Amino acid sequence: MVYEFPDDILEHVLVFLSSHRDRNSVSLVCKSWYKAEAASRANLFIGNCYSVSPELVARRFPKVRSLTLKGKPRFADFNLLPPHWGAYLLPWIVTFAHASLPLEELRLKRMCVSDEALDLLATSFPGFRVIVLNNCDGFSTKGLASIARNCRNLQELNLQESLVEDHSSVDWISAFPDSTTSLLALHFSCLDAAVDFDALDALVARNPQLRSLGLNKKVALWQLQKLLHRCGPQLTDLGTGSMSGIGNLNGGGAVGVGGLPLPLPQQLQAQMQVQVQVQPPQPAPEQQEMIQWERIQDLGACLSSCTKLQSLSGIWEAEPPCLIALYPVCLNLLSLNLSYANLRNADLLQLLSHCHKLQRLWLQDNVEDAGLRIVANTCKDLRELRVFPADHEGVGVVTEQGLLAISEGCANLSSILYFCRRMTNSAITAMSRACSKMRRFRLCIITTRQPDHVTGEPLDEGFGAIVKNCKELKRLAVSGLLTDRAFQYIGEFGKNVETLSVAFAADSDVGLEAVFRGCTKIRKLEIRDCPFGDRALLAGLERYETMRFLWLSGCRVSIAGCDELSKKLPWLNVELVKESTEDEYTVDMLYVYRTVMASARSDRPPSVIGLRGGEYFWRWVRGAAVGTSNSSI
Amino acid sequence: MVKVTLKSAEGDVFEVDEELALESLMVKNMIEDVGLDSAISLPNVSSTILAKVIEYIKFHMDAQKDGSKKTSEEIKAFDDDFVNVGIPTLFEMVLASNYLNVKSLLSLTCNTVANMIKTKPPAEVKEMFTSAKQAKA
Repeated sequence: MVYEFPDDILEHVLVFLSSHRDRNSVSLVCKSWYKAEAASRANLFIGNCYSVSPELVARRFPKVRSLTLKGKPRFADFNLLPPHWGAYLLPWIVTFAHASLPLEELRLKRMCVSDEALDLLATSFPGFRVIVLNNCDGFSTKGLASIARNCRNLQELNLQESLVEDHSSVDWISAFPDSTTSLLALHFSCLDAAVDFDALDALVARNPQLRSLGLNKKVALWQLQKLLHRCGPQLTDLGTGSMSGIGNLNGGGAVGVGGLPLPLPQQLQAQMQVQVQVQPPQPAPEQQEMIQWERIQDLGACLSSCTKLQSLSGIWEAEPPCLIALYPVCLNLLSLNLSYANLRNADLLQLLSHCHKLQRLWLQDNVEDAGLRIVANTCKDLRELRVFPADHEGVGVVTEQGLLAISEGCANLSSILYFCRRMTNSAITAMSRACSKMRRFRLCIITTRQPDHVTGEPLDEGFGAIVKNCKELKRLAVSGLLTDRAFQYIGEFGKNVETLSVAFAADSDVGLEAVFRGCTKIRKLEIRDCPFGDRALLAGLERYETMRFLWLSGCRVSIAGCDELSKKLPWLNVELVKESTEDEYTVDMLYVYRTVMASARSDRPPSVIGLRGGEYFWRWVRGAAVGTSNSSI
Repeated sequence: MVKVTLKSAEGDVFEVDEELALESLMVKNMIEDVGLDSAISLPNVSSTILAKVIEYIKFHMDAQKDGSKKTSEEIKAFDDDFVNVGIPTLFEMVLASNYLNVKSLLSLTCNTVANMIKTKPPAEVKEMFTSAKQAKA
């Protein structure tokens, strides 16, 4: 009974609908809309690679140009998945290539990418332009070389946080042919091995449109300078390599070898002195100091030429003098990622005090509470803050004091990830009131089950305040000592919460039941080491159909509970791992997701048991030896 | 100035400047095929909608003329007001602009429909279109 829009007119309307959600809505209106929408969908987002088969996707969306595909659950980052868990890219590429889809862009997260898949990708899609691999693994520099060699129109190669095996015999940067002149973005900061610098330099030289460049820590300072002389003025996003060696006369002698120093224009020298506010040493008694100063000036001039730079990362192994050269750049930055920069606290504070425009800041917890106070006073427009734990014990961690400071200074904050040593209800409450636009609130107290360190109370009231006061909250990660009360608050007030992460919390099933009852928009739920059993699991029956996944590990769910779930909702894939022998019926890990595929996936490793429709439970109880690794049914 | 006569579904006659009529690629083709002697019959477009389409084309032609003092804000305000109609009328304008092949009006009306769909769950989208049909019937 839908108003009849001829298909060709509907296509004109669909042109204006780009969000996945709107597209999904349209496809559900009626059969003819479903067809028209499918025939015109160019951008596809698949949040779980096992929710649908590649064949089905290729059949339904013959014009898909851009695919975003997510694989393993996030807890894979904490080594909680069994080896060879799955999320393989290859079947997707094989199917898409066979169907001759016009694929141009591929964005993957936590997928297992093989060199074979990359090779097939590189040779099957003539218009292929963009590949972004975020937290992916299973491939090597051989696969990268194939992409470089074969994708003639490549615009972006971005490896983000992927784990890439290095084949020293393959120099992937050299594999880019001379005809590659279309690159807009190149990021390889996650690679451990050095790349051929001359090839990189030549590549940068022949790609005048390059806007975004992320180097790895093997790229030396003089090499960075050489690259910046070529592309600095046009860059908006830069990940530097190593920023050490400036004071080392022998090691850093390469500055001259690399064609530097270049003469410094007068106005840049002047600008340096004004902005950096560091006077050159008086006629130095020691020659070394003079040379070092000249090099800092060189670097400063080089960086000052990057007038369009908005985002800066890398800064590996930074030496304090190099940081001074960064100050002019800091003035314009919107985004700064210092999570790899092992800076001394004092240097870090100096650097931060120059970053007035920052909207996004990632750093390590050696910033300390005092550093966060500087952030709060300097970065008035901060929207996103992440404080990661550095590899040290006890020193330099941040506390509720830092959180309080940020609350007072950064009213626009809408996203925070905060690893800290201790916390109080009052600090969390203060943040909930001051930063009411908060959409992503993730708190992680490094020691588990820590109460409010002043009152000794659980942190229930603090998290309660977050869900009460931040109405737009979509993502929440809770931490510290929490009773069921906290989860009752989340259920009652967290009406927009879509993603919830819980570890080492709650007293009983009541907690999770409250979340399932109240959080009607919940899509992703990841829980570890909580006392949630079958009752809590089965309380989610109404939610699983609209959720992307449920992850439970180290909880109290039994095989019978999983079987019951699988019987009640036969279209769910229920996957479990049962390894420990302590308790015959408790599962170690449970991963539940909806899927349109007709059966459990076939590529899971032997240690992962796939339940579908509840048919396997009794066979399991009678036949399988509990605790063996060959427990596939 | 040469005039062109357009005849709506109800048989009402609209006399417009040739320049204006040519903005509809469909009318332009008709003129090329049959000439200007007889009225051009548009059986798929009602008088109300045809009057709206003419109003739209006229405003934008004037706005584009050299002497026009219309600002982009004024043009946008006109467009916003123009499509601020009930869903049945809007849908008829979509169909008419498609039939008459007036690209800018088709874009404007389709974009408006798309904006109405945005952020709505499927059931509401369906209802929106169903009620439009009932209103028409």
